Amino acid sequence: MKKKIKTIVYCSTTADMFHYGHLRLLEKANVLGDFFICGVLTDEAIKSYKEEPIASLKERMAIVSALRCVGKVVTQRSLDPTENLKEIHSQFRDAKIILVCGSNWKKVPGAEYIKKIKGEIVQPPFYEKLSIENVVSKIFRLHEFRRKTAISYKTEGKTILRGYNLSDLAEEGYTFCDALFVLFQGRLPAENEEKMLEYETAEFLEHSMSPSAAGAIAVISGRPHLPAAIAAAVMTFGGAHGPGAAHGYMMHQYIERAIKEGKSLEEMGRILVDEYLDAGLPVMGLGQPQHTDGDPRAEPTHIKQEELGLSGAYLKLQRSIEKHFNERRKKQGKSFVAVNMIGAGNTALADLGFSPNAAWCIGSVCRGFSCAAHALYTIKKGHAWAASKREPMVQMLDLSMIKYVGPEDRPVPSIEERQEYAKNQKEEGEYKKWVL
Amino acid sequence: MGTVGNLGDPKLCYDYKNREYGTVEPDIKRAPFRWVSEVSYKNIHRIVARGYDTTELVEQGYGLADMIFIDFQARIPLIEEQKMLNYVMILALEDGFSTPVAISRMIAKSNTYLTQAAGASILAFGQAYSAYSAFGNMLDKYLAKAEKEGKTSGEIAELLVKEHLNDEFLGVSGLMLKDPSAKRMFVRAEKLGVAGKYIGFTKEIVKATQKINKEPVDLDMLGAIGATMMDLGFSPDATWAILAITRAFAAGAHSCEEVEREHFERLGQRLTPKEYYDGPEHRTVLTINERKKSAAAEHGDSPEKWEKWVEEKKKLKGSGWSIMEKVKIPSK
Repeated sequence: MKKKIKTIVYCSTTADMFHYGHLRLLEKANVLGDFFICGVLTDEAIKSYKEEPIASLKERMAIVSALRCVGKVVTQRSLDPTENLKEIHSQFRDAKIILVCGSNWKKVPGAEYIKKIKGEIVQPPFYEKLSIENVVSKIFRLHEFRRKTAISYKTEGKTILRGYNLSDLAEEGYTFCDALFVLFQGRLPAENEEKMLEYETAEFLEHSMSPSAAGAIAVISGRPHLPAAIAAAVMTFGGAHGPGAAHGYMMHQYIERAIKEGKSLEEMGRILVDEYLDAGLPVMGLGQPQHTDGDPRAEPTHIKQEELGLSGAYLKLQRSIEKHFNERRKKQGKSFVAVNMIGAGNTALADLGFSPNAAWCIGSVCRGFSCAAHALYTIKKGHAWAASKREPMVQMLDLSMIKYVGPEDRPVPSIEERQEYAKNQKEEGEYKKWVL
Repeated sequence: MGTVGNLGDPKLCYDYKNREYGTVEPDIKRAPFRWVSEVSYKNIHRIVARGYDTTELVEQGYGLADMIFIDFQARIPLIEEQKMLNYVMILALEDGFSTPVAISRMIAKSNTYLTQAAGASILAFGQAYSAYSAFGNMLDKYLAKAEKEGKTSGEIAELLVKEHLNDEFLGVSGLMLKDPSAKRMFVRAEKLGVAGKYIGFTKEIVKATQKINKEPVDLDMLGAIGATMMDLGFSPDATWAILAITRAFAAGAHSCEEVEREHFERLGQRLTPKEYYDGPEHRTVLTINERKKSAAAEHGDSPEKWEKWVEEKKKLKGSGWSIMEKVKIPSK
């Protein structure tokens, strides 16, 4: 047999988690010569250059031994196959040795010895798709983001939102507001519903200098990427700036109570007002700190809702709240307080079928558009940092804008005095009035 | 009181001890601070964007897309432009479990305000994921070059592709070979008569890329949306902002679903299996006294030592040393 063999092919493999990439390499090696010997790396050899294998040497050798394309299987004790190559060369003195190694290896282990014995090195293309890095990263991705979702899915051919192909929705001439109905409610709205949402989103989009725009402008003054300023603007919508879902939750609970207690929404509005005011709590949805004689957007929103035939339980309850709230104020000799955009906007969104959280999302994200415009204006027409003395007007971050009302200036104690100083300071307790 | 630490060091360019305390007096020489804006103003009675009363706008029947034109471009769009913006925004609304949505869901797991989750999704729009500003700026740069050098858009597209073939913001990739949505967008823009030089130029970029790329590629959603928005008159930055915000609506819905279907995650609840870890092996912590003896400060005090020092640092993933971006410097 030894005399007939003119070419011996040798290839190393880990054969760990054996896959198509391994098989392809070994099959390619087999066709290059008369006899193919495959060296399976020991655990120690693998650990010398990468993570230890998952399968044992015995398991890995069993797989390689079962392959038709492999003539003989040997163990390989180090990453460098020279030891095995020498052994083969001594047994097959007249045969040429071809060393096969994947193209991902820039420096082929054993190359020097192969050169020395005038052998040949062949590097077939590396099968990257199933590389351990790719497989691991895919498993990580699946593990991290695998979720059941009723919202959407995406394939190479389409993106489906609640069952509708997004591209088809757009082609058919639906609007973005229609798509918001699909997103949050899984349905295409009636025309009057779409009109109401257009009305509300368009109106809510811009509110000049409110916390959201001020937030965007302040953040962009440090010149981060634009999305940072927009995200900050959206995030200003908390418990005070557009109390979001809270108004909706309140309305929901009182409507449920009306049903349970057999009361009309008109009656329930009075009960809500009395309960809130008697407890010393503000009634959500009324009054606006800047538009003190009535938010220009709010009452027209109520009227538009009625005009479009979209009055539901929420509007009935909201109207009742406004009526009873102002009756109580009138009795106390106090001035009229009008509905604000939370009261009007959330009411309309609720009657359109948007949950309190969906309404919160729509309102606050919608404001992001105008805040982006404000931030862009600041980038393009203003100066970073907004503190320049060269500007004709005092800037937002000018040093003179700081009014400090904290503890008086005081010397820093030396590090040796620190413990005694800190003890006295804690005992005296004056610091407590500054604790936040 | 004596000198504190190094604050009396003669190398300091100031006399630290005698520097003044106290806040700065109000500056009465200049006009007081006011929020200056070209975008909008409001008073007690009205909200006015680019000169238009917003309540009057909506009463007239203008909608969300119209308002976006007004805020960003100070103009009322043509009906065709308004339709096209709606089209683009629908396509940009949802993208499955993409990065912004994943982030929003992760944040929602902490039982946050919904706005934190939606806002955070906007932060995911960087230079790799939907880099509309990078794409738009690239178009502007090469179109200006074509004009200056008297080249055709085809010639300049070839140059652009040569220089940006592997950039994430090329607008041409293998991402949408089976999904016709991106190409349909250009067809719709042409039908509506709003397609202009940016769509034309992007088509040339697609052709040029297909000519030299080994793998099949085609127009992708970044290129389709970016070029269409530019033809609608939006700047690269405005495009970036509008599309990132558009996706935040979907991120909000996903954060709601996360709360509805999954569970909140408490501090310390999530474990990281050892199999995920490939950092240094377990090692014994030196006692404080041993540290004095055996731990030496590391630094490279000559360029050669520094180079070795940096190479060593790069080996530790998470140190940040492998990330070195090129910034514009005056010398080449």
